[in-house]
Amino acid sequence: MPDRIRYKKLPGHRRGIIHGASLWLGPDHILAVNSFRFREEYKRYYFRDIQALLIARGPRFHLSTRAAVIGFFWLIAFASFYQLPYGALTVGILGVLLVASWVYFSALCSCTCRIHTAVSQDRLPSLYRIWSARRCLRALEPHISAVQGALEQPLPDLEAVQIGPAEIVAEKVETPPPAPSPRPTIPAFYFLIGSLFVNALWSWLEFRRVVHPSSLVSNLMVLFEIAAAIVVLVQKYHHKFGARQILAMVSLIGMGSFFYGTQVWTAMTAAIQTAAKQPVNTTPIIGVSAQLDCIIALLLGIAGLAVLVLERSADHQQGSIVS
Amino acid sequence: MALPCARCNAPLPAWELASGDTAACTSCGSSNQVRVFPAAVRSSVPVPSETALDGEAACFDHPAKRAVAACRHCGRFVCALCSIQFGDEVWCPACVVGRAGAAHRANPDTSCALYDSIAVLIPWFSLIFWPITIITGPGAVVFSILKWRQPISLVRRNRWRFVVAILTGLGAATGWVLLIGFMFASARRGAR
Repeated sequence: MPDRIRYKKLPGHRRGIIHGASLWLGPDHILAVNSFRFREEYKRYYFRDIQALLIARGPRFHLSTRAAVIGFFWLIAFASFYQLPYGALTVGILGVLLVASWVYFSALCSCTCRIHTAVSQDRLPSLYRIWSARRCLRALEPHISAVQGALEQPLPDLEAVQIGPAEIVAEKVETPPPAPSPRPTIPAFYFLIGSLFVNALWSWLEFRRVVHPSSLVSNLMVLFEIAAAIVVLVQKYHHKFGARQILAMVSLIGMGSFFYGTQVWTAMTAAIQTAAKQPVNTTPIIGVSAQLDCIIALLLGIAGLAVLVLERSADHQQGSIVS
Repeated sequence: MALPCARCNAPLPAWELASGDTAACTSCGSSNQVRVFPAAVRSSVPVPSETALDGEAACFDHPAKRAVAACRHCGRFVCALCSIQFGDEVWCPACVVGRAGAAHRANPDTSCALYDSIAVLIPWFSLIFWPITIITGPGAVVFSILKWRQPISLVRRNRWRFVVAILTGLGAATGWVLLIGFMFASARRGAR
């Protein structure tokens, strides 16, 4: 049995709910680890084989487990401080700021990183923020240069250099870039955003007691949201799991967690009141849950609008380049 | 330069790369930071002809190609394409695939089941439907003990997840024992 190699962690770590990725430095290679919650897959890139590393700026909307934990603590904070004066407002503003910062970092400080060898060109999913990608590149360069030496000066004719698998590059060079496929014709994403805003408005009206709480209307809206989110998940633009699908997944998880959390909270409150021999009163929970529902739906709706605006600007940019 | 954009795979403009290490993709517009290493230049050097002439040793799998080495394990002649070199030794693809002799070193791990993650998450996931923790609590303890000696991830250095799983499982089991004891005691008091 060969000796176990001690790997050193490289900057960048993708911590997803299901899928994770990281890069590790070995004695003569980089180990790319792709984890799928209960399974890890490894790929080695030997220093002597690495031809090029590329970092391309671009939006990456990734909901990490850290973001999920922050969201969970935000929910706890909201439930704890809603009764204080301006408590709900303060925590609500904090939530909007958190979402805005996530959108900012995802849209403007993100990147895609690729590694090229003679037989492969792979994406490195763990490097999705500009700063971690640059730190990783700085950490790797000395090791690769130590094995391969420095690039000849003056530089060779770079037009003649073949990087990556020959057949793939040849195909890319000979054929023009494929025209982008049209956006999905069923506007499920618009329905999802609309239903989120309607849900937020309805919850706010319920909380303000402008309308009577109606489980029928609430359930119908939730049903509509779930249907729209599922259709968005099924639709894949460019066959990729994009920002729309992430938002749809977050909406589904959020709705499920909210429903489950409300039920558990109500049950626990009732149990505590019964144990303390007090009359069971869960009415305040309905008000808080309406407020929470309103804020969650509003934040998701705003995130959806941000996704639409970013997509439009990307399409416009691409259209101007093509024309 | 046939270097594709990291985002959209469209070729990056060579004139930009010639003047620096960044290039804007003409297809998606994203700015690419590029580092090219000497391996890229070396791989484009044309390889001399490897055709075997009459009387020359030929590759076992490719009789038309000249042999460049013999497999360390089985002794078959291999051409430049078939020779798999690790340190000072050369193996043929068949020995590497078959993990024959020392060639098993050429088959590094490509995947691993994370038993410690499974063990630590069993009791927590089962909280969603908490009555089943009566099974999953002790189950997590047994599973952790059974899988303790199994190889864990290449990059994880310790087995703290197994420890957490055992402690959580023991906690769940203890909770159930106390609850059942309390229920029996209550029932006995009620009977009196």
